[in-house]
Amino acid sequence: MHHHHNRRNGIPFGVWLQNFTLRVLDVFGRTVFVAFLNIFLTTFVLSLLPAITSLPLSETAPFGSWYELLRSFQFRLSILAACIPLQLNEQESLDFALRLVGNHNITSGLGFGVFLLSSTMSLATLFVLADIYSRFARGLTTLIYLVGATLISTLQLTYALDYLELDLIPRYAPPMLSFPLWFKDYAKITAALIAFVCICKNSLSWFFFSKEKVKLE
Amino acid sequence: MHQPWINEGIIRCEESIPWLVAGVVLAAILPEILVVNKLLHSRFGNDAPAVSAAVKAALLGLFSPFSASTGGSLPIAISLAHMKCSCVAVTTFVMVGQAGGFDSFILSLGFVGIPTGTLSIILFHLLLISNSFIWSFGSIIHWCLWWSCGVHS
Repeated sequence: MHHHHNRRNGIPFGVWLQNFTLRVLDVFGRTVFVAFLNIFLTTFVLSLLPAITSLPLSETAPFGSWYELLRSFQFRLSILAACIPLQLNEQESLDFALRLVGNHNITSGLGFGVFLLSSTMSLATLFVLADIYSRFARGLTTLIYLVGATLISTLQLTYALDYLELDLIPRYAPPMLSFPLWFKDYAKITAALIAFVCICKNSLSWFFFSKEKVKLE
Repeated sequence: MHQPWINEGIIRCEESIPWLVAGVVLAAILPEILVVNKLLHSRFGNDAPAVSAAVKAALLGLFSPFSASTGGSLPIAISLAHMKCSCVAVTTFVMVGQAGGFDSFILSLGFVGIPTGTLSIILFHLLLISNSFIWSFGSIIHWCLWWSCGVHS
């Protein structure tokens, strides 16, 4: 800690600013691509949802035991849907779960499990966690534990909700948190600026790296 | 000619930009604040007990307004990892933040009513913390397997 303190105090402002800028570029670069990819994939899958959820299925509800729950086609469909690593927001997840409940006579507990799972797992989360985990030298194994543990836990929660016979009936849609308009405008300009610097920095480093390579060869 | 879902995707990206920018800026500032840095290191570092770190990270995720959006929570998670926070803490923060944050709690109460909403959020937090137990247990097994494979000899 003492080391941190000295290092921070000893650093000239110019160097500090450079480090800060590099950190912003690094975090932005690691996040922006997966976040946007995630958004586009999610939007695409959502556009297919009406077709998926209107598939004719047999009616088997409520489930009397774990065994019945596990062997049902609805459960497999729900898990498959929930495991698609896309970040749906709460409203979309709930809409999806409600469609499953309404169209296929799935129990509310199972529907809620889908709601939770589909709002938990996201492609961007998996990407970033894989990136973080690679620093810890454990990589894929930990991600498998994470996905496995989430599935098992959601199954437990689903069964608990199913057992308690709680309703999955939408009441009202509360307002979402949002930024003021002026901040949204500044954020767009800032994001465009950071993206531009990010691209320039990467292009320059690639250019210099290539030159260095040529020299070495 | 754009497909409708592409247009919708562009609108969603525009909506997520403020969260992303705010998250990135906060993620860059966090390591600079010495008190926060020390606090995070002591509470969520590799030396802190895994379960305690998971519980505290869950609380942090619950009250973090940035967890409303993927773009907002992921930069902070990256920053936590930079600050040598443990895997369990980072994972719990991300998972709780995205699925069980304060805004999710309000939304769940609104969507499914107070009893179901409250119970689901409590259960969800418990299961995320239990995830950290499973995770810790799994990593111990992984370490034992690695050790028994004779890598050390």
